[in-house]
Amino acid sequence: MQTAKCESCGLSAPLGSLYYVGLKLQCENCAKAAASVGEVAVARAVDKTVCSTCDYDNGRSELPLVAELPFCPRCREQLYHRDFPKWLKLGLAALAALLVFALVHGVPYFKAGRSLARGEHLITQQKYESAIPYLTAVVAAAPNCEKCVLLLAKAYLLTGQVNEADAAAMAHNQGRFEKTQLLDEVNAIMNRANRAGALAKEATGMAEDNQTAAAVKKLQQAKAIYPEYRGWDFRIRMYEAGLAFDAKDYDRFVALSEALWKEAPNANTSAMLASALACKYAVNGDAGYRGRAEEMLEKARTLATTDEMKQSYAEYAERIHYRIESRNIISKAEYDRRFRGGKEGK
Amino acid sequence: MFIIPGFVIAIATFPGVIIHEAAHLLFCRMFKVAVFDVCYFRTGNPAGYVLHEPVHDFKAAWFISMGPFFVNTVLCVFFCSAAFLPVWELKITDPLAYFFYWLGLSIGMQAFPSTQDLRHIWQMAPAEAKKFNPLAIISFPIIGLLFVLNLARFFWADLWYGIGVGVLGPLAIFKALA
Repeated sequence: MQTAKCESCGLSAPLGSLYYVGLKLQCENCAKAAASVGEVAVARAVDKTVCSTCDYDNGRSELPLVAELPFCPRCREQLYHRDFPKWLKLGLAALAALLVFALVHGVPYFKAGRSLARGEHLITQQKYESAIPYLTAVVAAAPNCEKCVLLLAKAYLLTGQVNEADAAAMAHNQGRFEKTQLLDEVNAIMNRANRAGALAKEATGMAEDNQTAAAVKKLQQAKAIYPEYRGWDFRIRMYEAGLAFDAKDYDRFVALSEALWKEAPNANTSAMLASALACKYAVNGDAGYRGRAEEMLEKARTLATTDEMKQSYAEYAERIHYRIESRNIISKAEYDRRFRGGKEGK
Repeated sequence: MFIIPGFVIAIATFPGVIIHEAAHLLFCRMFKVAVFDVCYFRTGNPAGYVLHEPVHDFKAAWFISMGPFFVNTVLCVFFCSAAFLPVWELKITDPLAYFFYWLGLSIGMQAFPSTQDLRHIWQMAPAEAKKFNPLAIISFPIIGLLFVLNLARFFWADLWYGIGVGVLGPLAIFKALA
């Protein structure tokens, strides 16, 4: 430890207890007195033989300085290796664990987000059909995401699946959405689909009233308005098959029915083909046509799974059997008049 | 301008303050700089500090001053990434996601280095830039921007920075991975 004398009162004291007042070394009392008189720079004198932290006395040898302050080896070591407190280590470990948990917790969201990005990308590429599975997965994970629901509805609409689009939209907040550009876009497509749907309904009514040619025209108008619906051509060809029957062009009736059956093998197309083949048998008596007509009628029976389809089958099967047995081709209306007392068969 | 006392902001974003100071200490240890005192969090101004010896090596000074900025920013991006999709894109009400977003934002909001740290680097940078030290060269725009942002703290620049990093960072990660 170094000692020095106060330059004002001559008091001898450890250097570390003295102060520099300006350039003058003074004891504590003299320094206080000097400082009270006016503004002067007061700084504690540094004894380079005493540690600034633990007051370790190094005798006459000066200690190494850190930032101009002396430190004993132990305290110096601590300055350079200041440890993180235990609570902080635990906190940081918890934070790291929390981060891992947060990222794992976010994995399902990431998957949904990725599906959304892919679905959106496919929509911009006009690959609407491919976008549907991705967007369906997103909506299942995030039913409140308006953008996701609207994108799914858009994809459905642009692939002609109006009912699915409507169901998807209605499942979200009863079909209520915030007004956005996407909503306007979806509404515009939906309006087109609805207008086309109204025309298709009119066409059905016309076909039931035996105005098949006008019905075909209506369907063509509907198709022009909402071409995304893929069923237009099928329905038009069904009506055209009806037109061929009316015109007694049974070869065309068979050809169209055959094509429809191949495109969509169901109870209706099977029955239509059976009807067309029965017509051909009635006209030329070729047993091959009769055999195929009966075969198709049997297929129609097995394909009629719902009560409605079974009822429908019972109605047309009766007429087709009549056509085969009698080789007499009459319209449904005529059949109803002759054999059902004018009442429509059910 | 909506004014909230600093200590309230400090309390609301305390994880960010602690991480910022811990990062300062970490870089001091990495560069073998003596540390005299550390305060990880308090309600005063500044909300935390690390008192270390003067640093004369530019690289050490740069990392000690700027390190917490990058550490906080990266952690902000990570935590916000876990919450970004449910909160912003998918509109999923998940309390955990909101908790992670708060954590991420609080860390991001405390990313800015103090003006004292910036001034230190700013003073050392010209001499180092003359020696073509790349750290010094890139320091000019970064520090200039951070000076401005620090001054703009009155206009919630720290909050906007946190939100910006917490949204744009995860968005960039998501776009890269999706």
